[in-house]
Amino acid sequence: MNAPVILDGRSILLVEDEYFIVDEMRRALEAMGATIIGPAPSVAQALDVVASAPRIDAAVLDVNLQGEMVYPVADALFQRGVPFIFATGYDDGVIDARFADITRCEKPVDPLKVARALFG
Amino acid sequence: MNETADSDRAEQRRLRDEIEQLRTSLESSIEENTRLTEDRDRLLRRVTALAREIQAMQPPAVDALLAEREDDRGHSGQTEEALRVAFEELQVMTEELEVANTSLHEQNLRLDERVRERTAEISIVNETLRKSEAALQIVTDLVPDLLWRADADGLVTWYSKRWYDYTGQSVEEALGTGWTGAVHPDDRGESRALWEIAVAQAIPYQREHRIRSHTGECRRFLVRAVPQIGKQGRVGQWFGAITDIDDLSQLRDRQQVLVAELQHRTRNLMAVVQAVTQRTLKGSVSLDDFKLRIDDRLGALSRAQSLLSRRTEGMKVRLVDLLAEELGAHMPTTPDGEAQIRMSGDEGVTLRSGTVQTFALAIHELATNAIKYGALSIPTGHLDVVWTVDRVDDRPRLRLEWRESGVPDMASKSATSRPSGYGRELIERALPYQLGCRTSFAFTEDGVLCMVDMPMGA
Repeated sequence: MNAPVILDGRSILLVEDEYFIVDEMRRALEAMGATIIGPAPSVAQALDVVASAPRIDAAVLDVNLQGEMVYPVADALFQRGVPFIFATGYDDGVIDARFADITRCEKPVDPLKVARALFG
Repeated sequence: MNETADSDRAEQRRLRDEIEQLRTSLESSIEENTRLTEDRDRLLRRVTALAREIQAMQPPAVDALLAEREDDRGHSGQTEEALRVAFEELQVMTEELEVANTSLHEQNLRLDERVRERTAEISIVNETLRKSEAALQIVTDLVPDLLWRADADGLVTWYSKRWYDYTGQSVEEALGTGWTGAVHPDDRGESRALWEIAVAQAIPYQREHRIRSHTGECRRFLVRAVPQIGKQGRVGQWFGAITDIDDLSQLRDRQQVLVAELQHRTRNLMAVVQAVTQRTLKGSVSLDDFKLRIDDRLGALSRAQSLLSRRTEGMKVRLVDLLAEELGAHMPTTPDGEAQIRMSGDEGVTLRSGTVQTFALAIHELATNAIKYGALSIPTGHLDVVWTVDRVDDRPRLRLEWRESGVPDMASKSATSRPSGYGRELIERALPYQLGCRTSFAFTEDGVLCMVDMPMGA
């Protein structure tokens, strides 16, 4: 359970509008060996990254970006076949039903849990 | 109320039946009477004919008759006998007729009396019925619900006036299954299916659906109906009520959104607190140092939250209020009586709620730094906060300049008087990332100069 998670060489896209939250997550995942793509604070910027980044192994998506729902980014990732999880303050019922099977991590999010959810 | 009206109606029916029976018996009495009269008339004609026959015999003829008595005894005796019998029959018949007439007359009187009584009763029942229907009318018009009734097969037989007023349907359009035409097409199929199930199983019906008004507006209604079970355990009819719950359901939806939003904000705030705590912990040299810094930053966060929660509906936070919140308690004057802090800009400039928290934290770091090391740490220092809103490519941008002056030996102090790593990160990295700002932070000869250029999007 508590074995260190090694994310060597994994490219992880972070989508989150709060700078300090995403920066903490970035530092923690980098410490586990991951390469961070983004981070992107808005749907438009995240879509740009998803469209242009040569390699994305996984993504962590905040559900609400300054009042905008992240779903278009989730759809784009799904198209690319990239696994992703939601980091959210919302309860289950609020998330769109078509993403019912996507793993959700409640905020504040533990980076270790994120790593395990994506690659565990 | 309906039960009373129904029993009154039954009573009315009973009385009508009784009158019908009376009429039938009166008619048969009249027939009997006619028959007796005809019999009497026939007898009368016979007696008259016999009497004429007797009269036709002249007195001499009578004498002769008497003389020939012995001879003709047979003929004369026969005529007299027939006359006598006819007279007796006539008498009997007349008596019978008198009896029949009397009884007919009495029957007529009794019949009249009963008809009068029943008519009076009917008019009382009618009056009661009229009153109870009038009362029912008042009640159905008074309640805000749209009321209806349906027969055992689920076909609507009656609507209160409100249904017609709201939907604009005519009676012909509405009755039967016409209600489906007024239900929103997306709700129609399921509403009809559920109603058919309720009717088939005689179970209460409850359903929310949208009904289109005569103006085309669709409002949400709660429809309820219960079956009235008759004597044989079968459904007699259905009583239904349709309640407008549009405002309620909008409030309910809005409340759900607000609760979800509150949850999102709370968890997000917790995550921000956690991240700020991590940063502060890394930047602190001791636990005491950490305590001071974290108290300070949590205080700024909490002031930003209270600014946000103080907004009334649709109101935005004014920049000038946010500045006053961070500098307000600190309004010193220089030795020659001049205000140390000078703010200038349009007081009507407001901030989007999503930007308030981060912006307030940045202003807080600048203010804390000014008070500890900068222009507000000495009596002769000055702080000018100047802001303007310009349109660039037709999009409004807020330009804010934070200029400290009058701080001596700035060059030598700059090594120690800079904001903490956290403060600079907030201004130089968090503001650009989160709010799309362009920012700069620099030391001039006698103080700090910070510029923030922020898009003011909707």
